[in-house]
Amino acid sequence: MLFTEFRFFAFFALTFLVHWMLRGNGPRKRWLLVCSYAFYSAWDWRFLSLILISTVVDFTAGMMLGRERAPGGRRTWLTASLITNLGLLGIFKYFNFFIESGAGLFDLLGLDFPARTMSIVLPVGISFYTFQTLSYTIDIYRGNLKPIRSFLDFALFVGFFPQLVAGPIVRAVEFLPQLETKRVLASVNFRACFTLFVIGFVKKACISDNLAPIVDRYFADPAAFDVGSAWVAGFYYFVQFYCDFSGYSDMAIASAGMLGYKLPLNFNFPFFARNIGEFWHRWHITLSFWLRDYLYIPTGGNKGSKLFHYRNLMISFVLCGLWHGAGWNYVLFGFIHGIAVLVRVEWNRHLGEMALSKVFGALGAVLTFCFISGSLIVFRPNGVEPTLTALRAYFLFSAEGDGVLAASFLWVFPSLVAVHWVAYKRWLSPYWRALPNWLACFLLGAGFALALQFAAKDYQPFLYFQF
Amino acid sequence: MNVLTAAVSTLCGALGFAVVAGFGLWATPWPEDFAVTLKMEHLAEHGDRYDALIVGSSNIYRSYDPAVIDAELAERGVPLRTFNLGGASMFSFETDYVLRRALALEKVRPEYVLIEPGDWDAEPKTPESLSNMLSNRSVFWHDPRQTWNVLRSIAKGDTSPWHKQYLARHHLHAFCYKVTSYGQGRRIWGSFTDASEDQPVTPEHVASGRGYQALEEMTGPVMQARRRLLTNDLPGYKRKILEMAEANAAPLPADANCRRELERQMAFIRSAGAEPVYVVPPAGIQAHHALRLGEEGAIPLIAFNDPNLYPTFYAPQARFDPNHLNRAATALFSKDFAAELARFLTR
Repeated sequence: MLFTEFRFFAFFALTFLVHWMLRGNGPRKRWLLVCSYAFYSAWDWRFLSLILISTVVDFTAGMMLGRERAPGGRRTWLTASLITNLGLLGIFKYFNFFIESGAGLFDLLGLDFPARTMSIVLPVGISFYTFQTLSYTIDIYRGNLKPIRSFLDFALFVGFFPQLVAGPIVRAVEFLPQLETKRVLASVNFRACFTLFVIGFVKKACISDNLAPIVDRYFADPAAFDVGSAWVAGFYYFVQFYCDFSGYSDMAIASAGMLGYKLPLNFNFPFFARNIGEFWHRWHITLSFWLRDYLYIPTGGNKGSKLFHYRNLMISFVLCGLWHGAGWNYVLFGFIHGIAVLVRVEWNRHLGEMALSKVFGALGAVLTFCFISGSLIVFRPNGVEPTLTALRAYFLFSAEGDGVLAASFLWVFPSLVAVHWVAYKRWLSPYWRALPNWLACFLLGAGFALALQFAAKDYQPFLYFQF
Repeated sequence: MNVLTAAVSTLCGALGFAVVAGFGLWATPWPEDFAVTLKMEHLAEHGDRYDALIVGSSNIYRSYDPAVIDAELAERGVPLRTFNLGGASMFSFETDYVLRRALALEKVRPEYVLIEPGDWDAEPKTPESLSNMLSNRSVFWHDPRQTWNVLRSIAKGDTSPWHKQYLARHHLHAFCYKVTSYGQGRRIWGSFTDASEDQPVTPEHVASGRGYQALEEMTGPVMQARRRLLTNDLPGYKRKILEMAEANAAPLPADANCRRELERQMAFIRSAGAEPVYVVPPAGIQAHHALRLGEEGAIPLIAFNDPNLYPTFYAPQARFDPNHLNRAATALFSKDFAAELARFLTR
């Protein structure tokens, strides 16, 4: 079930109405848990068992971590949680990748390796809820969080449907306290939530889904197109990718908000990032900060020697790439971004902090955008030869094809930047807030109807579902 | 926020939605790549030129030549001006919708509606048509009234409850697309900026042929492939015709659903001031419901789908493909049909 589908609208309307009609906090949470599991089952009910395993194991591990005082015992429970979560992720997401890669390596060495892959379907959202549950046990282990006593609360934290399948990655410390207090209807800002939902819908259904067929056309056969098309496709893919994921995040935050829960911000105007470091503070923020807090800093962060610091950075970025998918293209994507961040760190070290933006000004944002667009060519799973062809065309301006990709949607990009700029500067916010409720609601209803009319005809699954 | 403010805000939101959705419903053009679209435009302008509409699938579209029919009718003392409103692959519910929209046009006041009875099956015919359930062509006829008709038909059908919900879900989905004009924005915009869409026929074709167009006029690999369906498997075609002749000899009982839908359709045609006549062309369809109801006198029926009675039209040399007549056979058939119709109307 996608957030842009009519059946989601029906599902959400029912969930919303019953949720607010129930009086107690307990019944409401039970209702939301049932709805969340129903939402997940609409995709594939069999994989609900994985969520349940993860929930039971981490709830138990959390409880035992709270009771256990001996460091050895605490480590054992944390290890149990890590093995279960990362084991499930490893089996369902990475098993075939590692087997095939191992077989490839043996083959390269001239050794025979009987590679037996499994026919595995990637459970939707596994990367997201695995990171969420891990944050719970790790935070308890570190003493940053007290274990929760209510299994219902913990199950809802893991399975809460707005963020279940594609984030934002919500940490226990952010969400669990919200479950302890009863949500109050009067405190919900429906106008803001619905505005955000409509914005998310426009990004996903009207922009991303309309760009998808054009992008697909290019990447199906990059050799058939000229250099200009490679740039157009790169830009389109970045815009498609951004609108897809941030649109989903907007709708997730808005849906949760209408139910009285607050989810963290996941995107903060990434087009205005003036360098690659800033980009990762504006793009998929919950993942960036998760990796920072649970991987980069625990491995030493920027403490120690320069080499040690660079090693930690590269580990974080390569694993960030690998988190996105089981493929060498994702690893390479992470590696390229890691290198880019290292270059930026070195630049700052020699020329001073923010020298890049001082030298280039707004050009930094343009260069960052071009770099991200180009690196997404590697990100897209497309096969080695087509990827190399597209990269050659994009970075070396060398293409043999003479096909021209439709540039009819190019206006989307400057429009998007303009809209972002207006939103970034909050120029319209005072006017919007000053509108009387009835008029704002009328405009929102009309805007949503208009968005439905300009949505792409065919539903496109969210790109981030595959992660 | 108190209850009153919430209610007013919700109502205003719903009103805003309804205004834009209503505009979309009004402004969405009929499907592209659908011959009936231009025919409807022609009728809107020149509907008062015709006394009879012939409606149905491609079996109607490709087999009834109004020029020949009108000439023969005039010769037999029944001067009627007919218009072929047939469209490729129009199933019963779609035909019904097209007919309702045509009869609602100000200038269209026919004396007779000649209509292919169909089987009123809510089931998509092929996996392709299921995946095409959200195509413009499928969505356009799912207005509230017609969706209600199809849902009622599903509910009263004799399939399993699970299958019923499956079918109902697909039709409801198409209905949601229809009432919100989902994904139609660019077409609506195009209709105001005169961006023309590809159509399978031209307005001149519609006017000169009065809705009829021979398959020979269509070009392209698809048409050639259709032709080869006949030429490459003549024994298969003959076997199918023999089976149909045997089945026609003892038609199965008409199901209650089909009877109910035909009665409903006849009532609305009559309420528009026209008289319905059901016509079964010499195609490869059995139409046993219609044959049985015709025998019972429940519907006025002229049937030509008996290979024993009309062997000329079923001979391979009369066919363009297994289902459709070629141009020469259409001329012959239209003449015979007009003769039969004249007899039927003067009875």
